[in-house]
Amino acid sequence: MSLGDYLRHVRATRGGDTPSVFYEGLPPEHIRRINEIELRYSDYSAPEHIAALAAHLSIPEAELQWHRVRTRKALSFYLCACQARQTAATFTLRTGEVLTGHVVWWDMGAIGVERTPGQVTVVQRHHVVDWPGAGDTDATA
Amino acid sequence: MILAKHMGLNEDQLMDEIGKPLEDLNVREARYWLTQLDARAKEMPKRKAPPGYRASRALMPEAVDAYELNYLTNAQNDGATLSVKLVNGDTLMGKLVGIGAYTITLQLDGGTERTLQKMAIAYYDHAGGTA
Repeated sequence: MSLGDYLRHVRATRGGDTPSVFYEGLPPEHIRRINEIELRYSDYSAPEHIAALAAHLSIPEAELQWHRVRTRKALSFYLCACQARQTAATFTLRTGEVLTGHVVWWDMGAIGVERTPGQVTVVQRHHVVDWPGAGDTDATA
Repeated sequence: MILAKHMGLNEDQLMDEIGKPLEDLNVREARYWLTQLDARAKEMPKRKAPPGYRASRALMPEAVDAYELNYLTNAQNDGATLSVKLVNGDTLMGKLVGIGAYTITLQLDGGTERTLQKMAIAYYDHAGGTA
């Protein structure tokens, strides 16, 4: 799960305030950047943003970094590789459930996975926490 | 120059037509020629766009590749029943009666409609077992 997805999830589970309210107290420049991290699908964070976020949200910095390298782009690379190799993809979901199947398609919001022949399961990207090889390389680079 | 380029004219051709360099035009002349070129541009036949070309940028990233939208649209047109796994572990089943950028609406047994935020959905598929 990317950092943006994770932050949206945290914000949703802590009352769902707007970013300007939820991140109130952080420097305006940080809020602008965090807003971009949430809104866009690329990594816009810098070490100082991660440190400030960790302190503001009382979340270990390592946890934010863990999500930071699991960008949506990195997930797309994995999906693309699985499709090219015609191998099954495996996803660990936020609930701990593990889904395995062949990737049929993906877009910015969801992944179509054939778990059983002829049936496509649509997995929401924001719910995919981890996948094999995620975090092996710095996908934010 | 952008307008002239759109009409296939380069700077020299435009200068020949106007009769003097562009930087020598006064405001009144520039306005006149802009009006002339604009009128001609409107009369030009529109270029045929290639298949799949988007005239404007999609409003949301989710709409750039519309696989999920197509899946849901087909499911709704077919009157399919979806099995939706929520992030809290619950599973809802119902006929798909509405789709939006951030929500889907199911008609549950008994006719109750329930709109689900995609944020609350883990995954879904056809309850009948077909794609």
